[in-house]
Amino acid sequence: MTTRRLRDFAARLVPPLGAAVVLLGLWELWVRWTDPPRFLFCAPSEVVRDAMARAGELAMATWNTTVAVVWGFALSVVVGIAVGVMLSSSRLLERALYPFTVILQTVPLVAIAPMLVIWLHAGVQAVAVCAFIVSLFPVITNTLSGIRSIPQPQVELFRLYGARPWAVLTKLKLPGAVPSIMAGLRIAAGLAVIGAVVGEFVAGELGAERGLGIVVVVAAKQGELAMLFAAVALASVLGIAMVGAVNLVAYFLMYRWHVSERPD
Amino acid sequence: MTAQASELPHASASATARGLPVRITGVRRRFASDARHPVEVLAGIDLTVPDSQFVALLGPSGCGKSTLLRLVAGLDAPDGGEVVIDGRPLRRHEHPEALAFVFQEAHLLPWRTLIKNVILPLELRGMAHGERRDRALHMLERVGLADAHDRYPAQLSGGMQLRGSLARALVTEPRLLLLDEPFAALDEITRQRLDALIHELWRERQFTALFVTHSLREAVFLAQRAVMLSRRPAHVVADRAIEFPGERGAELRGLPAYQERVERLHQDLLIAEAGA
Repeated sequence: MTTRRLRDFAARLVPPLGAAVVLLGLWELWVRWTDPPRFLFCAPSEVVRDAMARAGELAMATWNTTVAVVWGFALSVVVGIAVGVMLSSSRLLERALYPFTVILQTVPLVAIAPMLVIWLHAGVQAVAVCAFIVSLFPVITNTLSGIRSIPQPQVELFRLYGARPWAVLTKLKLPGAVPSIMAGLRIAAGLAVIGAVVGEFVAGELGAERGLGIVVVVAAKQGELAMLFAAVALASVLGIAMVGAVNLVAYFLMYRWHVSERPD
Repeated sequence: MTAQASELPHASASATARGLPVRITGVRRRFASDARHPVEVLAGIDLTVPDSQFVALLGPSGCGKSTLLRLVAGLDAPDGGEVVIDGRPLRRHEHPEALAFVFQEAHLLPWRTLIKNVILPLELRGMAHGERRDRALHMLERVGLADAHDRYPAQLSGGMQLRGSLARALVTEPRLLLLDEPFAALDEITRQRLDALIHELWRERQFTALFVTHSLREAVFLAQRAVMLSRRPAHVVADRAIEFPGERGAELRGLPAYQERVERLHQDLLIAEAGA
C-alpha cells in the first residue's frame, strides 16, 4: 500500500522535474555556447551562484513576501467566502453588488497601489492589501456559483424539515460549495503572489521590509540579471507552495466523497 | 431482512390508522414564464384522500402531477383553491410537520455518509445525538442497507442511493409520504424490488401516500387508487379503485386481474392524452 503510494507520488513528480532539468540544461548549454552579454542573459548556474552568495538577503526577502502573501490570501479567503455567501442570499443583493466585484478584477493594481501606500503607509500592510485585492474576486465568484449550483431538491429538503438559516449555511451551502470554493482558492493563491510582488514594486520600496518585488526592482536597475532571475524563481516557488497548500486542504476536505480528489 | 418477522398484520395496522387525510379543493396553478401568456398547469383539481390510502397520480408527461405534489408539500403555493391536511388548511410557505418527500433522484448529500444522510432530518429537527443514530441505523436495516451505512453516496449504486433516500424520508415516521417518480431512472428489476419494499413499508406503517409515476404497472402494483390527470391545463379525468385481496407480491404481476387493470389505465391515459 505505502510502496504503491510512493510509486504514484514518484510518477507525478518525475515528469515535471525531468522537464525542468532538460529545459534548464538546454538553457545552460545555450548560454555557454553563445556567451551573450551578462546584462542581457545569464546561465542557470550563474543564477544559483549569485543566489548562494546573497542567500541571507534572498531568504529575508522571500520571508517578507510570504508574510504579505499569506495575510492577503487569508483575508481574501475570509472576506471572499463571506461576501459570496452574502450575495447568494438574495438576488437583489447579487444584482446590486456583483458588478462592483468585477471592478476588483479589472482595476489595474499598479494604478491604485500608490493610493494604498498613502492610506496604509508603505510596508507589509499595503503589500498584503495588494495581494488581497487581486485574489479576492475568484473567491467571491466561485463561492457564489458553488452555492448557486446546489441542486434545488437539496435546498427543498432543508426547507421541508424547517432548517434554520444557520443550519442551511453550515450543513448545505458551505459544504456543497466546497469543490467550487477550492477551485477559486487555487486561482486566488497564485494571484496573491503576483499581487504582493507587484504591490512591492510600488509600495515596498519605501518601507522597511524588503520583499522579492523590491529585489526584482533593484536588480533590474543595477543590471544584476542573475539576482533578478533568482527573485523571480523564488516568487514562482512561493506560488507553487501556496497552490500546493490549497490542494492539500482540498484533498483532506474532499477525498472521501468528491470525484476530483479520487485516486484513479 | 429480519424486519419481515416484525411486520404488523394488515388488519391491526389499519385499525390504528396512522396516515393523514388530504383534501384538495379547486386547486389552480399558473406559471408565468411569459407575462402575457401565463401557462395554466392545474385547472381546478379536486381530490380527497382518506387517511392511509395509497394513491397513484398518473397522466401525460408535463401535465402537472409533480406540481400538484409540490403544492401539497408546501414547496409551492396555489393560485386558487386550497390544500387541507388533517383538517388544517395549508398556509403559504408552511410545510406540514409529519410529511416527507421523495424526489426524482436520491439527492443524498455527497459529503455525508449514508447514515449521516439518514440522520439529517432528525438532526435538523433537533433530536438528541444518540437517539437519532439508533433510529437511522434501524431505518437503514429496514431498507437493507445497514452494512453500507458508513459509505459515501458516490460509493453506492443508483438503487442503493434510492433506498437511502427512502430511509431518509421514513426516518421521521411521516404520516404523509409524497413520492415524485422516485424510480424512473432505474432498471426494471431494481424498480420492482423497490416497489415491493415501498409496499411492505406502507403496510407496516400505514402512512398516506401520493405517488407520482409514469408507469401504469407500478401504479397498479402499489396503489389502492389511481387518479389520472389530463394534459394541461390538468383536471382529473379518471379515478379508479385498485383492489386485490391480501398482500401484493411478485406473483401479482402475473395475474390476469393485474393485466386487466393496467390495460384499463392505459385506456384512461389515451383519453387523458387526447385532452378530453
